[in-house]
Amino acid sequence: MCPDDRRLSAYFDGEIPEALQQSVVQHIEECSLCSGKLKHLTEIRRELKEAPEPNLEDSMDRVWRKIQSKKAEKEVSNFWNRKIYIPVPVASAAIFLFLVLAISFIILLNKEGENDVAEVPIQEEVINVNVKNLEELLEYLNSQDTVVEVTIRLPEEHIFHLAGEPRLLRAVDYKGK
Amino acid sequence: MQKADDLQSFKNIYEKVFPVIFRIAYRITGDMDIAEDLCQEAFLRYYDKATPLASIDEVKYWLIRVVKNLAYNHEKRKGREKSAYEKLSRLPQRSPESGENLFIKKEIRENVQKALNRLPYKLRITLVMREYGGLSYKEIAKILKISEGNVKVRVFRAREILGNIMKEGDYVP
Repeated sequence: MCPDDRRLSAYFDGEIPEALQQSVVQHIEECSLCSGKLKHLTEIRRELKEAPEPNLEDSMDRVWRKIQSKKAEKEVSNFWNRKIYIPVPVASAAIFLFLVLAISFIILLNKEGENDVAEVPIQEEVINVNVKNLEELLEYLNSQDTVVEVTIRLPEEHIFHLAGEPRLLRAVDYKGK
Repeated sequence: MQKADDLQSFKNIYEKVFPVIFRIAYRITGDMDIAEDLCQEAFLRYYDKATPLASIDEVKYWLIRVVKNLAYNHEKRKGREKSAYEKLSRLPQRSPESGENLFIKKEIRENVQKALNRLPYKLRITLVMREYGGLSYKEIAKILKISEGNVKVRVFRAREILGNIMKEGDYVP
């Protein structure tokens, strides 16, 4: 009597009890149907084994590198995410100290801010300009490519002359003169 | 005693166990990149494991179990699980060997992986562990947490379906 297909498959895998093995072997030798089934199983196994697979060494190296990289990432992440246990009195003291330092720093900054106008030393320079009238002086100053504070010192021995006769004018009429 | 937190020990384990883990992962998923990702995830989980395992075999079983679960989740996400039984019932009856059939068989041989992918997940994982992992029925039963009798049935059913797919040339590349 033929063994059932499940038993034949198990026999093919060497997975039947030793006590049964001899009788199955003997039967297969005599039964063309069962030897045909066994041949079929061998063919399936051969095709499975012959199916190409990727280069194992390459995959092994690639995966190892990825594992190393992931491990490094995790270690960095664990460092920043680690839990630190601080006793409540120490934590309170640290917070108090931090607040005192922060307030002191702010006060110090404000004090420094009051004197934050930079003192620029004033350099005085005396330049003698030979001009005849105010228009010439203005022209001279315009020709200087700089912005300076100018003090016009009149000659010590100044003499004022009257120009023309004094007249009374309306403000409207004086405009532009 | 293997220690997961010891880098050298971890590397030794990796070198010993990777080939079988990768081969199983690749044959379950049929995709090299996915298989590499699954292996990477499984080994990282082992590295992070708080309690080390007693022997290299225990590590191997543990990793295979993780890869199997990861592959199953991947399978569910992709929605690839098909009922091979239903497909099988629609297959035409076996016809005499013709030139065309021989050509198809050759093509199938080149695409065994695709034929393997058509097996239902439970059958595929069992057959892959047997054929590519070289695991005994007892070891497979331990990993899958099923009986040895159940393993025997699954291996037989997987071969039966796979054999039919290969014989009938139903496989479409």
